[in-house]
Amino acid sequence: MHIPDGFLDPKTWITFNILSASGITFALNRIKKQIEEKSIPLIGVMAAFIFAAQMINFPVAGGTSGHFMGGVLAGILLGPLTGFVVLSTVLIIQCFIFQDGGLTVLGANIFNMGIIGSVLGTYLYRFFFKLLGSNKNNSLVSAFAGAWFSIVLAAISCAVQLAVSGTVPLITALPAMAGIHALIGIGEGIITVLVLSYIQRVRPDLLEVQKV
Amino acid sequence: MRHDFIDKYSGLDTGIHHLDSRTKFLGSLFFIIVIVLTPPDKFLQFVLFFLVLVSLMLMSRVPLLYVFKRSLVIIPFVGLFIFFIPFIKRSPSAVWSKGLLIWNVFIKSYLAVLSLIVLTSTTSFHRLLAGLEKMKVSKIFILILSFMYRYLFVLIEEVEQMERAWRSKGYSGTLGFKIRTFSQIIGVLFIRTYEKAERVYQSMLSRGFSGDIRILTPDGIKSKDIILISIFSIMIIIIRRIF
Repeated sequence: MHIPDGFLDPKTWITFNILSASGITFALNRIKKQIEEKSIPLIGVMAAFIFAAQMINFPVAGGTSGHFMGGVLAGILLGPLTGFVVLSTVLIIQCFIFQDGGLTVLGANIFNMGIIGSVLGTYLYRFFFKLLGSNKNNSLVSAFAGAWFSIVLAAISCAVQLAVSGTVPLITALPAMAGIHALIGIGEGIITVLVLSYIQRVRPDLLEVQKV
Repeated sequence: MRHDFIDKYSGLDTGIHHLDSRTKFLGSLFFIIVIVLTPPDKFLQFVLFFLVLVSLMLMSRVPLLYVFKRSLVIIPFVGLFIFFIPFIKRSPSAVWSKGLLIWNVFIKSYLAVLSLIVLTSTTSFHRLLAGLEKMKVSKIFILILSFMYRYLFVLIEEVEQMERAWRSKGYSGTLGFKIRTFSQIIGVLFIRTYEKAERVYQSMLSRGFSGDIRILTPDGIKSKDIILISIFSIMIIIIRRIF
């Protein structure tokens, strides 16, 4: 869900712009300290990968189609902070080049899909992984849970932002958004798991790269 | 190709194209913030904002039809919002009617989208990034964005090839089969991307890459920029104050 300009009121978009800008600054500083120079182009190219993966249409019944968000996948593969930066750059490009999501509400969109969708989702994945005990199957179960929660929580956050702005009433928007995205989240979870298990099978070494 | 419209008109040779990218970026940001803050019942002001945008399009010789076609991207979100309208018991400010509420989000998001299209079809993305870098946006972030932009086209083409292959082989099967195919496309894309990233970095290093963005004709804020941005801002303020 990319919120366009005009859907949020000033107090909401200003707050989320500040939150997301400080988040990005924090993440970039950590990345700069912990990562080799070589990884900077890698992050950029990975952002292009997430962008391209989001463009593949998945045919759903009735002529509609859905796509993949990839926040938790990026977080698991590259680390939560890098995943966050990747998702943020994807959103910035989508805003400027495709007008998918507005400029004043960029911070709100980055918060939903970057901070909740990638950082929180990845930490939930790690939490479930610890809870269940480390083995290959549990890693996939945790990835499913992390991806599902990332979508549902991002949708809830989007509904709350719209409601706080007085654009939609919380009492109907929240269940509607959470309900639809509980279904979409299942798709996201399954795809995240299948992509991870594919990479595990074909290039397991890529799962061991440095994560920030 | 779904990406042929990106940067399509940003290489034209008009006064607006030659402005500094910072001027255009800050001008657009200011304009969008003003649009978002305008009360929805000031109909005349929105009409005038629209006319300002149309005259910018005419001045920059970006085809109007192209801009309006691309502006349709906001339709799904506005549609979703209209779906919620019947559930709104009373409008939040108690003064606005439901019609005004729809108008409020529709006109603001629409004018903002038009402004962004005008910005990006008169400024190439590399110039925009170079401008952001001069405005002290983190250099790593700019680098990541410019790498992403550079490889976007390559990867979009790769995705299209895979998608076309998938479609031409039936695009069907049970849901489980479709999901597996879809995930494997993403998996293959990831591995190819990763390998590409390593090769790219090495070849860039061997061509003397030092982390700076170099542009053949660098931007610079000239008196023309200052005069135009002042006229533009004063016009916007006059529209807000007088009409």
